Amino acid sequence: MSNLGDKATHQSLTPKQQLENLVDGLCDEPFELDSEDLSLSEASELQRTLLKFARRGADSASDKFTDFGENDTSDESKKTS
Amino acid sequence: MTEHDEWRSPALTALDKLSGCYKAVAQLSTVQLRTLHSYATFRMIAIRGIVSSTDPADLLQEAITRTLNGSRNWDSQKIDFVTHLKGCMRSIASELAKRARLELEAAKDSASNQQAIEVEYYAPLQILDDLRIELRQDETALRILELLLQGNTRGEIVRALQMRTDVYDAARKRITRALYAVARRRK
Repeated sequence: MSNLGDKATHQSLTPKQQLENLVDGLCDEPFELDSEDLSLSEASELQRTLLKFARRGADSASDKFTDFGENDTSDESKKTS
Repeated sequence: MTEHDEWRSPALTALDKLSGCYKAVAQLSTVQLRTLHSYATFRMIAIRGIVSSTDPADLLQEAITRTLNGSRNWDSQKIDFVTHLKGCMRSIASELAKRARLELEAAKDSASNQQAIEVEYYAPLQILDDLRIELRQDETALRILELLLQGNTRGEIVRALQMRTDVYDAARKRITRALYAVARRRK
């Protein structure tokens, strides 16, 4: 209780820090906001974008791992990356 | 297992992980996508003005990138994919905020000072004012809000306000929805 009092009267927090505290507090688990603001079509679009993105990422990483397995070029790729 | 198999196994394990991550993205439900999008929107509110992009989808994509490139390890046996992505987004947003602050402090010119003031004071103040207006008829939520702003935890607030946890949780959802509405309006 005394700690809470200390925090509540602590005036040195900037609005930015207060906002960060708020976001942290609201994002505590369980975070369950099934916002209707994201429509079904927007949700599908988001998933398509993420899948495309994940596919690209998986492909490029997969190529890297294949190179590693087949040709052992890992040291070279590290040097050039 | 042959010596060759042993040598290849780390790469194969990594490929399994990639495939698991891709499948997990494909299997996200609409509710989970909405939760992740809302979470990303919230994390972006706190760093608005100090990063160039404020699109929540970018934060989500960055979390997936880091999972795919292995800089953030996802152990599917220990944690579900949604919780993992939320953890990634939290740390990415925090890292971006720290870096941006350091850059602003390092610049020390008048334009940067003005931007720092905007980021630290005016922009968040407007969001908090809008939020209070949104919640103006909800006294319970407003009392909780003031304590959340000071960094108090759920347990501390429940004790301080002598409130039942279900009452706190319901009010927290109302604050969450209100902040989400404010953030969407200011997009």
